[in-house]
This record gives sequence, C-alpha cells and structure tokens, in this order.
Amino acid sequence: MMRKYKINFFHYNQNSILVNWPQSISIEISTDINTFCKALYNDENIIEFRKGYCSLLIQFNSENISYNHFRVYLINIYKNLKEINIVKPLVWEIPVCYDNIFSFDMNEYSKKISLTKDEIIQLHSSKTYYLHMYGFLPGFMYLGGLDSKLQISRKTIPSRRVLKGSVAVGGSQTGIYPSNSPGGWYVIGNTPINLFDASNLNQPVAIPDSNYVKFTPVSIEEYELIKDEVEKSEYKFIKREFNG
Amino acid sequence: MVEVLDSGYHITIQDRGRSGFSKYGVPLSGSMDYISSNNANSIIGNSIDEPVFEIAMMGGKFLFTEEVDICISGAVFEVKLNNNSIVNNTITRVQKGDILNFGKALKGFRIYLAISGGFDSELILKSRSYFENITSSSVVKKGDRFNFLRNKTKPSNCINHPELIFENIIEVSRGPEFNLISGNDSKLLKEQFFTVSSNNRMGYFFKNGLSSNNFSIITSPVIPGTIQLTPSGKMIALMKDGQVTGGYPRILQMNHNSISILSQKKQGDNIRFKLVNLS
Repeated sequence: MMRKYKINFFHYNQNSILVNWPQSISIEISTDINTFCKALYNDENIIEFRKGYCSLLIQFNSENISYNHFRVYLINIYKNLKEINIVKPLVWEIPVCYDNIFSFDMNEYSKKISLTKDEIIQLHSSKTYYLHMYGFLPGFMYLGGLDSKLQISRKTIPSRRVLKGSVAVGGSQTGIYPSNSPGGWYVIGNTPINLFDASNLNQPVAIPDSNYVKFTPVSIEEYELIKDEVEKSEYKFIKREFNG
Repeated sequence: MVEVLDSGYHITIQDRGRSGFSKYGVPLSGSMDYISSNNANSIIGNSIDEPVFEIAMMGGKFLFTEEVDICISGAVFEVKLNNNSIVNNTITRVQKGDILNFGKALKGFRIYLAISGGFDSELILKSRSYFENITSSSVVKKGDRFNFLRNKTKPSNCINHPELIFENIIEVSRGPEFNLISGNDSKLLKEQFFTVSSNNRMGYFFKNGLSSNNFSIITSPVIPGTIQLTPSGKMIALMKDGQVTGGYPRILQMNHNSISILSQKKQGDNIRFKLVNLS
C-alpha cells in the first residue's frame, strides 16, 4: 500500500539522518511519525530519536551501517508500515489558576488580542490540545490546537524569568513552563502540577506524547489544595478517553 | 575523596551525557570538548565514560584526602599541585593532603580533570553530567565533596593530538536550511572570520553575522553542533546543553571535532568555517 505522505531524507551529521514529512502541523502527520517510530523501536542500529512537528532526526550507529544503507533501510520500513492500532489516546486535565497573582501578562495580552479576560479563559480552557512532542526544556510539551482568536506573536523582548508551572501563549501555541526559565510567551496562568520528574528513569514526563491535554480553571483555594497533594505525591490526574 | 576549596568561574561534572532522553526534552549534555576529556580519561587508563571535572576560564582549588592518579587535558591553565606546576596530558600521582590549584586559562577555555576511576556524583537519567533542574546542583560549589568511583572499567585508547583543539578552522557541513541563504552570504560564510561574542554550555554566539532575514521553520529537531541563523543575521552554534528542538533555520552543522575546537574559544576569539561534504 502506498503511504499517504512523501518523505525525504537529509544527511544531518556523521551519524544522524533527518526525515522530513510535508512541512505543516497536523495530528495526522504526528501520528504517521509515531507509527514510523514504533516500527523502529528497539532497532539495533538506532541510538535515539528527536521528534519535530513534521520531521524526525534519527541518530544511528554509523560503525555498523553506512548512511546510504541506513537510508534505504528506512525507506523500506516506511513503505511497508502497517497501520497499528495505537492505544486509544487520553485527555489529561490540567488544573490552571488564571488568577491575577499568576497571570502576569493577562492585561497586555487581553488588550493586544481584544478579548476580555473571561473570554480568554473560556476559550483557552474549552479546547483539547494535542501533545505533538516534547522539546525546548525537559518536560516542555508542544501543544497543537490553540484557537486562532488566541494567537499572538511572541514578545519582542523575552522575559528573563518565567516561573515554573506558568501557562502561556505564544504564536499559534500554548504550553506550560516545566521549570523556571527565560521565555517569550504571554503568561496567563499557573498550574501546581509537576510535569517532569528526573528521578523517574522510565517515564520522567507525566503525560505521554500523542495524548491530549485540557486546561481546567481552578480558584486560588483549589490551586493550593492541589499543590499540597502534589507535594505529598498524592495527586492523581483526572483523565478520560479521547472521543474526538 | 576530593573537597572543593574554591569553585572558580564555572566547574561542572561531565561524562558522555544523557543519550536517549531527548524525546522528553532533555538535552544531551556531556563534556563540551570530548577530544580533551577523552584524552584525560584515556591517558589515566579510564574508560572515556568516566565523569571528569570540566573547568572553564579560571579558578578551582581542590583538596585531596587520599592518594590517587590524576590527569589534566584541554586548555592550558596555570595549574599547581601544592607549589609545583603540573602539565597537561601526563599522569600525576596526588598524595593525601595535596592541594590542586587552577589559575587562569592561558590558551583555550576549558580544561578537564580526570582521576583514576572517575568522580562520584548522583546518577540521574543514566548520566552524572550536571544540568539545571535535572541534577540537584548545576555547578560544583565550594565545600562540595566527591568520592572516587574507582571503577574498573575497560580503559579506552581514545587519544588525539592535544594541539588539535587550538585550531581556528571549524569544519561544518550544510544544514537542512543552508539553501535559504543568499549566494553572497554563503560566500561570507566561507571567507569571513567570525568573532565569538559570548558562550556558555548551551551555545556560542557571534558578534558578526549574515544579512538579516525573516526566515522561520516549523519547530524541528536540533543537536549539539547545529548552527542556527537568527532573524538579525547572527548565528548561534548549539552546544552540549542546547535545546533538543528549534525554530530558526539550521544552516550549518559542526562535526564532533569542530564542537571540541569551538569549545576552546572564548569571547573575542576568531574562527573561520570550512564547508565540507559528509562522506
């Protein structure tokens, strides 16, 4: 069977190959990349993968296989990929407090996109976002699906320090800062949840990629209660099956 | 054990990094200049996997509480064991109570201190390399104490010529977005010297650059050695602690040796790029 996408290859460095899908952001392309990755899982020639929205960088063992042989090998695997029944994705609820004490950039953002704070919260928390991949910082999720009314170009001068847990918007994306970091997005809230745990060797991230995320507005009181549970390692994510 | 009496400008523990965790957004980390950390480990009879101290620019004073063999390699620093100078790329036996003192870098920027068996520090995500929010500390601090691993791993024989890192020619291959740049800019890349304006373990920044532009790409993977072109026309060379994804065009890619060579450059140093084909 012919694959839906035409992919091409680029010799990236001595032991890496870049695979490019058509350059656009979509759940279909991310799913195709994931299917390809699953077929290559545990492959003895592969050292590691780095995922983009529509590209995949594969580091291979160049002592065992040449670039050209590896490329042909990948082409064959891609051609013969079988659609596998990927486990049904889940929607993970992330509690967000949009209160003024956390939403440092809300006023400026609200003015710039001409929506009220309530309209922003309503729109931001009504969508489900697809987790395309991790990048930028350990545990930083690249989420797709931001409402076009909420899009805004990034700050011209990035903030020097964005607080851990900050929920922010930049370009056509929304995301959460998993640790304190400089950043160029507009901060509109904060979550008390930990998204990254370096001591967990097998699953350092809380939410597996190709799942969905939904933001649930909470009050300061609820935020504090959840934060307390998180600190005691008693917090349980609310999640459900994704039904389209 | 070794105790840190003075933490210098910037000292970290580095090994070969955290391969396999970039899918969670975790940078590779590891020694910036592998040529030199491999030399230090190999000369002393360690495997190149053993953790070493990476000491940048100046400073660092260590008290040894037991006898051990050490080797330093990389940048040329003023280094004294008690009152005697020691030189790079030789084995020195350190005695209990000895003090090893690093002065200023005289040539290059990063020096590696290997001890027989390697330094012990917390192993997180299969590596001891320091990185903020991964390891509990992001730099070695005054008062820190490190035991020796005394690993009996198979020694590596990864020794390169120690002068190689002082070259100023950086070999690069074309990056996936190389073709975005104009003919004139690609000529500049090949002919001009570029001056380092600042650097850290995440990246090297240059004073001068190419034409300003409005190129952007959909967020895509990058690796250490990727050279990105920013809208201002300035370039960022991503190093070992660099992000795993990026949105700037990837115009060049350094090879492993070039990363080591660039790691020895400091603010104000000039480099030239040499475009080579990947074979």
